[in-house]
Amino acid sequence: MDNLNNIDPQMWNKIDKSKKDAEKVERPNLTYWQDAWRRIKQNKVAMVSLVVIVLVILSAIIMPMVWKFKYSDQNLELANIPRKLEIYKLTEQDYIYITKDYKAIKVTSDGNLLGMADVINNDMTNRKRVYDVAGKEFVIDYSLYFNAKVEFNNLSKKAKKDPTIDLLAAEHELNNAKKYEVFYDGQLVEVSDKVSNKTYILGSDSLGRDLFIRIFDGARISLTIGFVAAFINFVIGILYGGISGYFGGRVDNIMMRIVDVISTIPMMLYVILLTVVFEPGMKSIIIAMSITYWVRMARIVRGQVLSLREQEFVLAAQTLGASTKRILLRHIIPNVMGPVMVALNMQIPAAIFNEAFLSFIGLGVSAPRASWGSLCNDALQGLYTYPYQLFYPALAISITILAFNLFGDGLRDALDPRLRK
Amino acid sequence: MGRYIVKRVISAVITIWFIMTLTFILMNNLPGDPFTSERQQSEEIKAAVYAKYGLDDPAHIRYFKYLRNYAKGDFGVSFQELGMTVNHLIKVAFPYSMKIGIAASILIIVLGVILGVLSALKQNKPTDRIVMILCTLGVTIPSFVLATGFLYFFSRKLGWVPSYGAGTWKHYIGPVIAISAFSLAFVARLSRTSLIEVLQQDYIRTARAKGLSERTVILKHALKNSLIPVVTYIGPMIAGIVTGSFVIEKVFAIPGMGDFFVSSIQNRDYTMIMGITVFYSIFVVIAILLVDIIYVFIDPRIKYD
Repeated sequence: MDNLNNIDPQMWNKIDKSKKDAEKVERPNLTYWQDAWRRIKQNKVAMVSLVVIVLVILSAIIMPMVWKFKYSDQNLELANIPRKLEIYKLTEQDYIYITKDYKAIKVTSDGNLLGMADVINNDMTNRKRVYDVAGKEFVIDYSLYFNAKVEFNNLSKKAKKDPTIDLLAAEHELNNAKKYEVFYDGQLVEVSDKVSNKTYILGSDSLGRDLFIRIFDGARISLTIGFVAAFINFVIGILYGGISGYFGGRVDNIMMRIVDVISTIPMMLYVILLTVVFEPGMKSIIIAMSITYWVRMARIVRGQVLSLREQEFVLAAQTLGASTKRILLRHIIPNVMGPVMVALNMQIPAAIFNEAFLSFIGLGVSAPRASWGSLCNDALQGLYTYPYQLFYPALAISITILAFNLFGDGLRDALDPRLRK
Repeated sequence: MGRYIVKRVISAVITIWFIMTLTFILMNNLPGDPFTSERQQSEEIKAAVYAKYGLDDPAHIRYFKYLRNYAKGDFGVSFQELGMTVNHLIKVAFPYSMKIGIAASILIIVLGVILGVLSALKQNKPTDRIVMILCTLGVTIPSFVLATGFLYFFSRKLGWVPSYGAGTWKHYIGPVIAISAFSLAFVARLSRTSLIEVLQQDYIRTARAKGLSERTVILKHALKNSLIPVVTYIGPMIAGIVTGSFVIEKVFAIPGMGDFFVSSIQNRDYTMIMGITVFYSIFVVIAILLVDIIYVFIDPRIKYD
């Protein structure tokens, strides 16, 4: 009770309204996008994906400028050399790597490729190749595989009459058998070491081009197609959907019937047809994909616009005498951006996917350029012998698409928490 | 409902007409003609060949002729291989593609729904996590990568399945898996979300409150309703299987329609491309139409006008 008497009489006076904090904005005002950014920053998966996407884009831009090879540099002597080399040590300085087609390549002990060894004799009848290494004879005897193959062929002839022979197992055995023996100065030599290829860090392709730089150059093409096609879809979709949704009524009805018709057409067939008509290449792929895949975007935009145009702020703008164009561009479209950005983000990997698909059936960019899809297509012929040529481009496609998908999921959650699943 | 079906059928007919016209216009604007070759032919021969195939007629006459032929079910002849017609191809090659397509559809729907239901019932548990990771991978890896990977490991390295051709059932394992993966992942995700949503509905709570066993609640009340979105995905799924077959049949060397389509693209055999495109488009449009009509019977909640 004593405390009450001790209160300073000043405290009972009314304070000035301006000193009250009730109306004060404690935190800075966040715009829609700042708010979304704040939310997406908390999503670890989305952030990692974003970093991956940025890294892929940056390296696609920078790598071809700084790397020691160009995408078109080729060296037929050094074709089809993988990332890991099994080398034979012949003398202190001389190391040899033997390719899958039985050629001897000189390497350094740490894996730099020096070029083909000097051939003395290529004995086709006895299936032997003789090279000169440091003044002595180096022999690759690949008759082993040849004999096995002859045996297998005999077996497969027999198998036609005798169904009990397991040809599949025999083929498997043949494929995994030892294929050749090497001799240096008359002595049998074994693999002495396994080193990484320093010249071509991801190996070389069938024309002796550096796979590493071709993948990054392919990234340029695949990403350009992905972004440009998605962007054009976005523009067409937003205009078409915006007009349809804003005018509503009969215009909307007709425009949406057209969209219904288009959406039941299997688009990939028409992308193929258009690419054939326009001559395959980057430009025609972009054109074909931009005039076919905007339908989804148009539908999303229309749905949003239909609900937005009934809102008060549009009525307010109309009352103030704003033109249709201004209402569409300044009031409606910025508000549609959330779901549209999510759709756009999903369109990019879809475009990359489709481009890879087209390249894979031979409608891609023309040589010597390559996209990820055409790199995979090129690797198909030598799949069993040189699987790495397929593996790395495929990995690049998968990682990029995965990153875009995961980032898209994060973006969707951040932009529209109601859609969170 | 009858009106809706009539409306859908009309819309499908318009779509097919649109497809055919579009294809005709595109093919009509190709640079060169089917008989442009390195060998110089005399004008008379050229004119005779043109007359034989009706290429000297004006565009609108060719257009109507083309519509008439296709309406009669004649999808054209190859301009590069003598005596090869699209109809012959449909008879010989389409059954292979159909076999793969049907097997893939069954796999996608059955396994997709099972995985989806499993992960919805075990939401946020390890099973769910694993299924969802697999699904994310499924939509991420292109089908041709899956196909070639499958070939490399299972037929080359392990020797379990033959690598090419279409003789035995073993030949179909790889193609069916590779062609299904994308849609399978999609269906699993779709049925998972849908079942989770349905399980939160009031009538599920009512069913539980009545004391029904969990089995009955899920199988009789929840599952049926949660499968409706899956039905709507069947249309896109068929389109996906059709286009997927192009690369899959190429990789596995299956003598199906898709393989022929890709080789006619590579040979620039324009009439074949046109015939197969129109055939496949009509096939997909009719399939989607059927799915839409079935949908009306499955989902009585939606009123159609």
